[in-house]
Amino acid sequence: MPLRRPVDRWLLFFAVMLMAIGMVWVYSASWVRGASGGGGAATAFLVRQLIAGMLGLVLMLLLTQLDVAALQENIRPLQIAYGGLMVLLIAVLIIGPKVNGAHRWIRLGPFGSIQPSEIFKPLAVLMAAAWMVRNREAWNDGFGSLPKLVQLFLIFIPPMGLILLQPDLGTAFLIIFVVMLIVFLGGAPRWIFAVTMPILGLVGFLFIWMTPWRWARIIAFLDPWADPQGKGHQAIQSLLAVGSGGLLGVGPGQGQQKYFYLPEAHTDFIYAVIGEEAGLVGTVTVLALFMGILWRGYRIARRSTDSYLRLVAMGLTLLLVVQALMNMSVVLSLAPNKGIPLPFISFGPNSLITSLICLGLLMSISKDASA
Amino acid sequence: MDPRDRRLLTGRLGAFQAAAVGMVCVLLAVYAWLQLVRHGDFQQLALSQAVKERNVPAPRGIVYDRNGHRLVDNRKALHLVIAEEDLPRDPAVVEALAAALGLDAEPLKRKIHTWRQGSKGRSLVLMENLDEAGIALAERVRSRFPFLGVDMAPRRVYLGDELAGHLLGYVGEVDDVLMKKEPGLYQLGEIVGKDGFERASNERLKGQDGAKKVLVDQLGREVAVSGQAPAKAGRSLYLTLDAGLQRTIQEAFGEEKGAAVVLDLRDGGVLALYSSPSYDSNIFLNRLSQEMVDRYIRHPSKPMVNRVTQGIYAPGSTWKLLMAIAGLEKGVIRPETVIYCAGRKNYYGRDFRCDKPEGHGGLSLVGAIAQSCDVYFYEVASRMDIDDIYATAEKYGLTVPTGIDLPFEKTSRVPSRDWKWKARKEKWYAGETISVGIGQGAVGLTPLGLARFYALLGTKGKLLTPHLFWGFRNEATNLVEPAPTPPMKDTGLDPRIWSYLDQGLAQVVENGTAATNPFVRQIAKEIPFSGKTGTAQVATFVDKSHYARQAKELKDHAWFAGYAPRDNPQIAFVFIAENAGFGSTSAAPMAAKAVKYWCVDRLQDPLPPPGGKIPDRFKPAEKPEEGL
Repeated sequence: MPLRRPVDRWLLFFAVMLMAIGMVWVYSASWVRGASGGGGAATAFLVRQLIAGMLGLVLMLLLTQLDVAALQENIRPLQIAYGGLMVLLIAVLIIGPKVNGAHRWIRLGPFGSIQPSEIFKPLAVLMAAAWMVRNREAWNDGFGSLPKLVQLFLIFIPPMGLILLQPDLGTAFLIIFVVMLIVFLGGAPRWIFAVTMPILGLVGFLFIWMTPWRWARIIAFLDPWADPQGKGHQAIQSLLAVGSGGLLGVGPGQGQQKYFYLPEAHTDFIYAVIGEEAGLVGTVTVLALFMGILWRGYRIARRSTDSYLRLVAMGLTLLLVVQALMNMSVVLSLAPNKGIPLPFISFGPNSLITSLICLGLLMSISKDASA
Repeated sequence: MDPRDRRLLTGRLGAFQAAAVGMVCVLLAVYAWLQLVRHGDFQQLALSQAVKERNVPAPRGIVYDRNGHRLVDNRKALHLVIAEEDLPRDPAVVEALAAALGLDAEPLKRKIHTWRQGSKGRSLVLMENLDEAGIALAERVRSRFPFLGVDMAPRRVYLGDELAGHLLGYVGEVDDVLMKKEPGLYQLGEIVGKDGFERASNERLKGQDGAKKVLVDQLGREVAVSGQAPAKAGRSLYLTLDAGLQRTIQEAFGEEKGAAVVLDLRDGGVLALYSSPSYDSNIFLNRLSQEMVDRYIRHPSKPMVNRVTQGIYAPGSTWKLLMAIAGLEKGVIRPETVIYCAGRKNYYGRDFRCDKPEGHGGLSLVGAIAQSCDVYFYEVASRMDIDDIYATAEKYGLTVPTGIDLPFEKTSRVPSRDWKWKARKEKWYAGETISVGIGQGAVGLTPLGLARFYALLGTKGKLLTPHLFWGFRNEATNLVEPAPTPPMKDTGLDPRIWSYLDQGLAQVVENGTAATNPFVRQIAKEIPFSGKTGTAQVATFVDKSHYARQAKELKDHAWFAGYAPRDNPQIAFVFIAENAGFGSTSAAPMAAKAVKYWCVDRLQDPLPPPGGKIPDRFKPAEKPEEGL
C-alpha cells in the first residue's frame, strides 16, 4: 500500500484563483449580452457559470477520492466512458443544434447543454496513458512498437473524426497534441515522431487548405490588417483590447472592446477583455497562475511512483496549460483562432466542469506519492 | 518502478520544461510589448473606432410676427438615416436599397460617395419627416438593410398654410451649389434656409449643433453616450410682419394673381408681403412628388416666384409721381402749369393717346395726378431727356435693389441711354421717352421698389430700407430686443413739391380715378388715405371696346400704390393684381381693405393668431423646448 499524502493545496489555490478571476470577467464581458438577450438579466451568463462551478467542484471533490491508478489494470470504466461519449458525439451531429455553423452541444432543456468533445479531453488522457503503460514492453522493440501505435491511432480515429465533423478543429487539434505528448512521454521511440509529425502536419495543412473558411482564417491570422473590417476583424479587435489596457488596465468593467467589437468576448476572447481592463498586471497574473498549475502538475508527476499516474498527471496538466497557452496565443494573434476556451476563466459550463474534472484527477494523483 | 522508465520520463520532461518556459517567455514578451510599448497606439485606435462622434442637430429659432403670433415652429421628426460608418459600399446593395425606398439609385450613389468624403458625424438622411406610412416603410426596409437607422431631429413647421410662403421660405439640406459657392461655411447634410427669410436670415436662425460621443457596437447601434456637447437652439425672433394684415391681404387676393406689400413708415419694416398664388412652405420640407412639382414649380402661374421682390412690372400711372418730381425739379413744369388734354397728342409723328378718349381739358399738376391724365405726363416727358428721368429715379432710390432681407431680389429697370446701349446695343429714341412718361415702355419696377418710393412720398422724402427682421426675442421677458433700424436716407425732397404730390394723391381717392369705386369711396370716408391707380399694359389694343371680351391673360395689370392714413401716414402700400383690368376696380379695393384693417379692425378686433398662440407678455419666461 503506497504512502498517502494530503491533496495538493497549491494546485487547488491556483485553480480557485483562476475561477474567481473568471467569474469577475465573465460578468464584465457578458452583462450587456445577458441584458440584451432573451432572458434580459445582466447576470444570466454569470449565474450559469456559477452553477457549473458548483457542480464542477462537487465532481472534483468526488474525483479526489477516485483511485486513478486502478484504471491501468481495470480499463472497463474507460471503455464504458469511451462508448458512451461515442454515442454522444454521434448524437451531437444528429440532434445537436447548429450554432455558428457547428454542432457542438446537446441541449438538455432547462439543465443547459452538454458538449461531448469537451468531456472527451480528460478521457483521452486517461486512455492514452493506460495504453502507453500497458504496452510498455513494446516501446523498446524498435519496429515492434509500430503495430501498438497504429492500434492507438485507430482507437482515436473515430472520436477525432466525429469531432472534426462538428466541426471543431481546435478541440481535435488539442486532443491530438496532448495524446502525442503522452505518447512521447510514455517512451515511444523518437523516430516515430520524426516520421509522424511531418505526415500529420501535411494532413493538417491539406485539411485546412481544402476548406476555404479555415484557409481564410489562416490568411487573416497572418495579416489581419489586410481586411480590418472582415476577416481580420477578430484579430485586430483583440489586439486593440489588449493594447489599450496598458500596465494597469482601464479598470474592471470599464473596457469598451467587449461591447460587440470583440467577438466572443466572454468565451474565446475573455483574456483580451482581462488584458484591456486589468492591463499587463492582469494578463501576467493569469499567466502566472497557469504556470503555477504547470509547476504543481509537474511536481505531482515527478513525485508519483507509478508510471501511469505520472503520465496521467502530466497529460492532464498539459491539457489545461496547453489549452491556456493556445488561447492566449490566439488572443495575441500568435495563432489562428480555433475556438479554444481559456480553462477556468472563459464562460462555458462544459469547459469549466471539464477543467475541474482534470483538477480532481490531478488532486487524487497528488495524494499518491510514495517516493 | 523501472529506473529506466524513470530516467526516460525525467529526460523527456526536461525537454518539456524548456518548451514551456520558452513559450511563456514569448507570451510575456508579446504581452509586455503590446501593453506597455504599443499601449498608446492601440488605445487611440480602440477609442477611435468604438467612440463615434455624432452630430446633434440644433433646432432653428422660432419666428413670431410683430404681435407674437407664431409663424414658424419646430416639431420633432423622424428621419431614416445611415450613420457615416455604415454607408454601404456595394453598388448592388445601394441599388436594392433605392428600389426598396422608391428612390433613384444614381443620385443616392453619388450622395453616399460625397458622404464618405466627409460627413463629420452627420448621418445621411434617406427619407425625412417620416409619417406613419413612412415609418411602416422604414421598418420594413430596415429588416432587410440592418445598417439603416432612425434619427430624431427637429423639423420646421410653418403655420398658417399659404399665409406667408414666399416671405418665410423653407429649409432643406444644403446643396452642392451652395457648398461650392461658400466653401467652409456649410457642412454636408446641414439644414439651411433655402428661400425666403429662412435663407436670408439663416445665420440668425440657425442654432449651434451639438455633438455627442457615442459608443457604437459593431452593428452601429449606440450602446452608451460617453460625452455630450448639447445643441444650442437658434434664437427666436420677431418679424415686423403683422399676421392679421397679411391674412387680410391674402383673403383680399383670393384666387387672383398678384402681389402686395405694406411698409411701416417709421422704420421700413414690412407689415405685409404677399405674392399670389402663394405656397405652403411645409410642402418643401419633404421630397416633392411629381404632382407637387407640377403644381408648384412647373405651373404657368409661377407660384414659386415672389412677385413682390422678383416680379418686374410696368408701373403704369403709379410712375407719374416720379415724373412729376422730375419735371418740377428740372423746372420744365411748375405746379400750376396747365397742360391741355384733348384725349391724344402727337409726338414725333405718332399719336399718343390718353386714357380718356374725349380728353381731360386743361389740368394743373394736382388735377393731372388725380385724373391720371396721360397727355399731361407725355408733355412732361417730352420736355426732358431720358437721362434726366433716370437721374431722378436714381436720386429717389428706384434704380437699386431695396436691400430687403429676402434673397434673390430683383432690381427695378429704369431706362437710360447707357442702359439701352448695354442691353440692346441701340441708341435711345426720343419717342421712347414719351412712353416712359406714363410708366410704360422700357420701365419696369418691382412692387417692393415702388412701395419704397411711395413710402418716400409718405415720409416726405425718406428713403427707407424695407426689412422683415425686427429683433431677437428675449427669452426671459418674451419681448422683442429691437435690432438697429436699417439705414434711412433723407433724399432732400423739396417740401413744397411734396405738398402738391400729397394733394394729388389725396384727390385720387377723394374724387379722382380711385373714387369711381364705391367700396373705396366708402372706406375713404371712414379713413382718408392717399394713393395712385395704375394700369400696366400687357398687350396693346387698338379698339378697347372689345376689352371685356379679351382673354384673361391679355388683360392689363392693375396697380394701386399709396399711403395711409392721409394725415400723418403710418403705412405705405403697393398692390398689383395681374390681368385684372383697371387699378381702380381691382387693386384699389384690396388696398382699401388693408387700410381698413390697419387703421380700424386691427385695433378693435385683432385676427386670431394663425395656428400659433399669443405669448402672455407678463407671464414668466417659457422654458425653451427641450430636445427639439
